[in-house]
Amino acid sequence: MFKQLLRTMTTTAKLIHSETPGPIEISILTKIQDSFSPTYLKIVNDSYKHAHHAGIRGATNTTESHFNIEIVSSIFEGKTLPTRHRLVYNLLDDEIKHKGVHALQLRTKTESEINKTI
Amino acid sequence: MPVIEIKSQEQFTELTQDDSSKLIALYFYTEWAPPCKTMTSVFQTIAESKKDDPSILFLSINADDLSEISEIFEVNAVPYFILIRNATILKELSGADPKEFVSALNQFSNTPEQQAQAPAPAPAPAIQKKEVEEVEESEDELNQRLKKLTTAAPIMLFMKGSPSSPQCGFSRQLVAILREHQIRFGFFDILKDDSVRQGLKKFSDWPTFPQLYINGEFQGGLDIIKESIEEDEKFFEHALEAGA
Repeated sequence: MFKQLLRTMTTTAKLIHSETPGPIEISILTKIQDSFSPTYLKIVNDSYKHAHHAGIRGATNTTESHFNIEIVSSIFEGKTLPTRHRLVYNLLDDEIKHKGVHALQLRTKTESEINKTI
Repeated sequence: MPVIEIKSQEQFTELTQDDSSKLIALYFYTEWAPPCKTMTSVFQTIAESKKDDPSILFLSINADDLSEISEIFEVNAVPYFILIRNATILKELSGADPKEFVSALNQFSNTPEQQAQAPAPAPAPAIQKKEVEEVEESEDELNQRLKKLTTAAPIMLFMKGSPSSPQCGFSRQLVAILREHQIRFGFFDILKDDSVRQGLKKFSDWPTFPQLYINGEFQGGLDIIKESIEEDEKFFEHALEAGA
């Protein structure tokens, strides 16, 4: 579905985020844009799906704890998946360690990968 | 008296029916399970320290060789300890925890508490069930323990909860994927051991769980495994071959 979505778009950079992003989401978006210069960036706040789960109950941050992030950037070129994800984790270290971001679902691609025909 | 290595079922029957007042400590082990290597010497040391106490009998049983005895006691994880008196099971302990064993021994023995001079290695989890105690260990010792854990099985899953009772959606999904591909894997419940939980984040350079290791090499979390399978249906087989 990700690939189909991209093919219908133009080549200008795309940014998709929540209608009213919270402070953490804004911080994440800014950091990714500054460091990775993505051609496509989509962030979805999934925290509400986990708000009542055992692992997060009682935590101070239940509104910006889980995000699903899709990034297309040339910075991922030639890197294995674990390395790519580590780039993102290191960038968002502060949010994870100190701001209560509990989990990130990540999809990290390069332009050439998404343009590959199946 | 020191540890008696059981060689046959007849010998076992003879020793256990001998004296109904004796406290009998059974230790089930296998040659191949890593935690047993540590526990075998621990068990021997504890037995040595109690050698002047005639009311306790220490029996060591190779669970593979003497499988009938293992079956009678329904032992399906090693190391495993059973304390018996008068043909009654007093306590069963699964996993490699010297402190727990010693306290159970003291609890049921007739003699007053003696200081068992057992060495205190960092407790290691049994392959299937684990009861791990919080022990002061240095970063080096922790890393050594993590090295052993990540190589405990060709495919090791560090998850929240257990495969039969996962405590997080991502862990549950990864278990489902492994089962779908009929992959044999070992697991470790990081909710049960906080030093492993925090230590592994550093060791793997990865902040979240679940974490999958193949042949001692970190592979990734749920997203990466999902993507890897999308790209390569035989991802697991290939990864196993590569590292073997």
